[in-house]
Formats: sequence, C-alpha cells, structure tokens
Amino acid sequence: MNTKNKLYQGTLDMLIFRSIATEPLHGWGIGQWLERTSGGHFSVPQGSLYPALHRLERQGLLQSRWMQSPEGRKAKYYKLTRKGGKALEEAESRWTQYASAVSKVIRSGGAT
Amino acid sequence: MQAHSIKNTQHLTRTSYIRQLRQEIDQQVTLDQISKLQFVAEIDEHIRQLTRGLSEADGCLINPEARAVELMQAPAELAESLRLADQAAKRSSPLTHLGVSIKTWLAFLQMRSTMVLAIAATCFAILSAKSFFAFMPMAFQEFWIIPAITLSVFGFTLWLSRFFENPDSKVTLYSQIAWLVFLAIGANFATMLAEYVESLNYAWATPGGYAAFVIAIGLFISVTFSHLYFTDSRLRRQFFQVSLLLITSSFAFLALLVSQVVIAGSGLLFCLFVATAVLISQSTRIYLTRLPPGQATQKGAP
Repeated sequence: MNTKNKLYQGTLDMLIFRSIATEPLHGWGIGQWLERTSGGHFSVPQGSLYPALHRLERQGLLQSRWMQSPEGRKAKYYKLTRKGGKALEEAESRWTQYASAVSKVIRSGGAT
Repeated sequence: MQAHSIKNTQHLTRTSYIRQLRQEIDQQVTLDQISKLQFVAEIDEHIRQLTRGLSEADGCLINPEARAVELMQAPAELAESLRLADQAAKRSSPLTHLGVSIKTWLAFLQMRSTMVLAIAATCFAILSAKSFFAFMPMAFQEFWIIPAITLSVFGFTLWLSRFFENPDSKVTLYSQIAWLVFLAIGANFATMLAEYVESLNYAWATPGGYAAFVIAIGLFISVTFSHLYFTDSRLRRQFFQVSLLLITSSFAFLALLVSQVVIAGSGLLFCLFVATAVLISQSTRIYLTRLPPGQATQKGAP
C-alpha cells in the first residue's frame, strides 16, 4: 500500500480515532475506511498503521477485542475508550482551529 | 523507503514473510509474547485481505499473494516501527502500558480458562480418587492405579471432544493415544516416586512424598497440555511454566482442605470425580471453538 499523500504529523491518531468513533473496526478496515472516506487521498502504509494502533492501545486510548470478521476469520477489532473519545474531541477541535487559521492566512492574500 | 521494502520482500511468500517478521520482532522488541503474536496475527490478516483485494481488483493476477507481500514493508522495518511505537507508549503512559500488558495476558488466560479449568478439574479428580481410597482397606490403598485411571478418563474425554470438534484433524487418534499413555505412565511414575519418598526414614517423609507426587504429576500434565495445544515453542514454554505453577499451588491448597474434610467429604468428592469427566469434555469443546488464529494454534487444525 503506497502513501499517496503523506499525512501531517499527528493527524494519523485523530483519523484512526474518527474511523472507529461509531463502530469497531479491524486494522485493514481502518485503512480502507480512511482511503474510501478521503476519496482515495490518503492511503496509510501498514508500517505506520499497525504500530500506531499498538501505541494507542498501550496508551489506553483504544481497546481491542478478537472478533469474527465478515469473511469468517478472527480479527482484532479496535474501539475507542472514554479517554480515546476525549482525545478525539480535543484533536478535532485543535485541528479545526488550526485549519481555520491557515485558511484565513491563505485567504488574506499576503501582507499589504 | 517503499522501493527498499519491495526489494526486501519480493521473493517472500506470506508464510516466510510472517516467519521473518516474527524473528525480527523477537530480536528487536521487548514486549510480552502474547502481544507480539497478536501483532503478527494482525499483519497476517492484513496480507490475506490485501491478497483478496488484489484478486478482486485484477482477476488475472497470477499470484496475488506474492504481489501482496511485495507491497508490504520489509519485516525489519515493520519490527523497528513497532519497537518505536511501543517505546513511545511506554514513555508517555508507563502505567497504562503495564495495565494493557496484564489485560492482554488475562484475556489470553480467560480465552483458555476452560483449559485451565480442565487441568484444575483433573488435579481435583486425582486428589478425590486418592481421598476416596483412604476409606478402603490397606491393600486397596496400595492400588495406585487410580491416578492413572483418572487421567485416562480425562484423556479419553479430551480425545473424544477433539474428535467430535474436528473430525478432519490430522493429529487425532495416534497422537492422542500416545499422550494418553504418556499421562498414564506419568501418573504411575508419580505415585511410585511418592511411595519411595514416603518409605524413606526421615521426619518429613509423608509431606515429602506428597510434594514429590504433586511435582511429578504437575510436570506430566503440563508437558501434555503444552504439547497438545501449542505449536509455538515460546508460548508452549510459557504455558508450561504457568500450568506447573497452577497445578502445584492448587494441589498444595487442596491438600490443606482435604486434610480437614477427607472423612466427611470423600464420598462426595468421588461423585464430583464423575462430574469432572463431563465438565472436561464440555469445557474442552468450548475452548476449541474459541481459538483465535495466529495464537496458540491447534496442532493438525485444518
């Protein structure tokens, strides 16, 4: 899986949180969701995704469980913990403020 | 990085990729075995999904699995990423990291709790049979075949449940019988050893004999279970240690209880012995249906 567009530093965690905010997903499912939802803009390499999932779980932000996938195989499904939910809110709020600030700067057309 | 990865994975099959990844993780990452195995199992599942995705996207692809492996990051790099991620998590939340490690182990044990229960039930059955025979005349008390019978019943139920659970299994009859014989020999060896120690002329001969019996029987049961259920040598070793610890501590605890209730409760204990056989059969069946892939793999499973 190629990195079509590199993610900005720190955004992978937020995108992972968002992908599992409504329902638990396994690693492959998270990657597919990100690619589909971004219209093919992002494709997260497995070398970043799975270690990140491991880290977030170890930090208590995600919780995992082995469950049956639709293909009938057992897969490790992740869901947000309460701490993860708060982290998602904070990250989205920070990101929105940041993106809004960058947009204002771009729209300003430069110093006059 | 990607070109490098492709170069390192272009001649690997899924199996060899997973093997290499496991080796790299073992060398590079200081993490508990269960978490390592789970990580590898996740990557294995990822390759399977990727293979399926490639097949669907291009039905003419000759070897989609080889192509999927080519697209994977090199095992050494992936292991390095895991190491860094784990270190970062340890640094930022050391307590949570430890907590998750413990939870992973507990979940693993919970998944295998039926097997632990089966082991405990076997030990209990042996002890019950021994207690029951305390009522018998002295000549019968020397009839040490009882532990062997108990273990044989256990082995038989184990084999029976596995047979019904997985009739296509390639390890079925012969290996099960071999382990059954091993258990029976072990039970007899343990009792002979106990008798020998008890016959020695020193103050602690009786408890010494009991201890010898417990350790010997614990060793035999642990070896049997670890070889029956685990193909991964590290996991097998760890399970062996935990099992031995559980068995010896349960026996020690039960010895205390039995010394108080042996006369009143031995009849009841013998009835429980029969119930135990049924319990083992049921619990083993449940256990077998709950095995996840990539972890403690069942030998001969299709």
